[in-house]
Amino acid sequence: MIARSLRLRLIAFAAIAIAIALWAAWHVMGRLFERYTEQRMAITLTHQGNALIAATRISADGRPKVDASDLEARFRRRASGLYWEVISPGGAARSPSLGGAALSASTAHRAKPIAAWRETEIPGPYETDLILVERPVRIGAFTVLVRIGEDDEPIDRARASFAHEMGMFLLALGIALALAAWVQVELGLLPLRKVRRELATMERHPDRRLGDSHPREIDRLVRAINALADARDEDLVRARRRAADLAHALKTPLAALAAQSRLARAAGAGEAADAIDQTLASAGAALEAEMARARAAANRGSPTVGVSRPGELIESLFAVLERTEAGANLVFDSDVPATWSIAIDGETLAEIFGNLLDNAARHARRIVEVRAATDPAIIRFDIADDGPGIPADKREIVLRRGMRLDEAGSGHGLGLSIVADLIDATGGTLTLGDAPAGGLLATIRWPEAILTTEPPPASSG
Amino acid sequence: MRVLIVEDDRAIGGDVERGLLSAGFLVDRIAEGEDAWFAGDTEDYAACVLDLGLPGLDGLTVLRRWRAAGRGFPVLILSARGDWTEKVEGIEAGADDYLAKPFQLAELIARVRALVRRAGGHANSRLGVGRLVIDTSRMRLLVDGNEVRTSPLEFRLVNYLAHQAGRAVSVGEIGEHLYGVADLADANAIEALVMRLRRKIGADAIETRRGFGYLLTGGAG
Repeated sequence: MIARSLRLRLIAFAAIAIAIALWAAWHVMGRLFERYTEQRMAITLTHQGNALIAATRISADGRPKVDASDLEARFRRRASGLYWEVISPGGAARSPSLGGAALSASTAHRAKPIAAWRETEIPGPYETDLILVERPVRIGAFTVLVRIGEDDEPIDRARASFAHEMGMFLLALGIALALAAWVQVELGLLPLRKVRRELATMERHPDRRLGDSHPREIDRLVRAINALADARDEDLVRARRRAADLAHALKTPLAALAAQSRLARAAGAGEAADAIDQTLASAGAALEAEMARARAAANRGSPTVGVSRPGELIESLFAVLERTEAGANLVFDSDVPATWSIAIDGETLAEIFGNLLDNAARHARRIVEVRAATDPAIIRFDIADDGPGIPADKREIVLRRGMRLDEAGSGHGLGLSIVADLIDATGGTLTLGDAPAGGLLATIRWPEAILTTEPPPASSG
Repeated sequence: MRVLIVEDDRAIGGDVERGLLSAGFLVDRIAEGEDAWFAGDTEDYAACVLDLGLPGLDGLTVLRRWRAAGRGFPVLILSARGDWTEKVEGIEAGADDYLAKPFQLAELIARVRALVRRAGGHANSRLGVGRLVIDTSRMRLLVDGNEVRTSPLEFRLVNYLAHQAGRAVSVGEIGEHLYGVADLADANAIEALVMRLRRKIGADAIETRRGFGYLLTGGAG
């Protein structure tokens, strides 16, 4: 799951990096604290060492004598944690706190006198370790080794306490940093979320493109997506154009063949001409039907390409139908709001309404009406005529998918089943019913989301 | 009566030519867009059969140029594509009728006859009512001198009302004139027709006289 989610991946990486950094900081700071306190202790010990040197006398036989009265009281309390030892060639003197024991042997024993104190750590007499400062020093004629040691147990305690408090602080810091990382990731991913939203819009309105106000880092991606969408649109347009070209390429020879058939008839081959004409008619019908199906398939592949105004389109279709024989004596009326735009391309919408209106015009007596309405979550177009209508038991048959033109009854234009297919491909439904005036009522329903407030793109023609 | 055929396919062109000749028309046949534009621009034709896919200049462009130059002879478009978008484009470019390939020659001849009859069958007269001018010779309606595109039925209604010289005409009488019968069921269609006509020529151009019917005033002229 982490591998698939950019957010989880970024947050996990940040959390691991923060944890490692804080853990290292905790260790290093603990070590630094320890060294610092040890150094503080060593400095204190050297002061006491200097006092010890001042208090030491060497007798003539080389034995050390220490006047401990000026030294700290802890030297006199047994196992107090603070000890001294003076070793001369003639013997050794030790603080009463040692209780008669000796400090561990020193490597500096009998070395030449030096000016500075040497700091070291040795095992102490009472299980704990000692921080020890020692220095060979010349007193009278002798080189004497002066050693002062102190239990490092308080340092260990302080270190543990420091580590605990530091740990708590670093934990809080870690949480704050993790929160900051999370916020950063969310902010960083915000442009991607915007792209995702815009892509969702693009899915519904393929003529839209991603905006150009994206951060530089994803600008190339955005441009690539826009270019891809452009290319897809062009492919679709090209495919349609090729289908139209193919139809043109086939229809003109068909018409030419019809001319030949008439010549044949004129030459007396009437029977052959009849057969040719019949074949031509079914070839032409099949061509129309296949083109409509190809259009439906193209729409299914990309349900909405472009935006069109149904009000304007329907009035244009009226103008066409008013010039047909069937439509010349009819009143065509529409109340589709001129401001409506719907996310279906103009050509597809023209086929849908054109065929339904043509069908209505063929059967109407006086009037063909288009009524638009918005039901909850749905927009509805009712196309009604005042003709004979289709009996209820036949309606299902004319709408059946894949129904061929001639099977569905040639009286109904391109075939209501193909129009139904086309509407289905655009995400809508077609139902047939009784018009108030007695004719056929064809009702198209589309999801309301198809209704946009976007103006259609300016036509390039 | 001379008819212009613009078609680049020789078999179809020849077929249409033979058909129209046998129907009693004189025929000019042209296969190229530029030539067709020139011919339509300089000669007088009773009608034209125009293919859309032409070499040189395409059919729609030829038609638009004729209309822009004021050439008003009726044009029947022949097209292979046959989709509604193209039909709309054709009609909006100024075509009077539309036939998709493949077509029946008999139907083409019948349509050409209808176009010629529509364009030439009326006495050459212009009738003015208010802001309206009704040109019966070319079935054109002008409002303040600008042509308004009307359907044949709308034109028949406005023409009939214009000839009633200030008399309100009842719905029944309109129905009788338009449809040949007076039927109460037609009142709805006639009302819709009047509403549409008002939208095109102005709401005040047709007044409703309660109890009498509709009166064409032509609006404040």
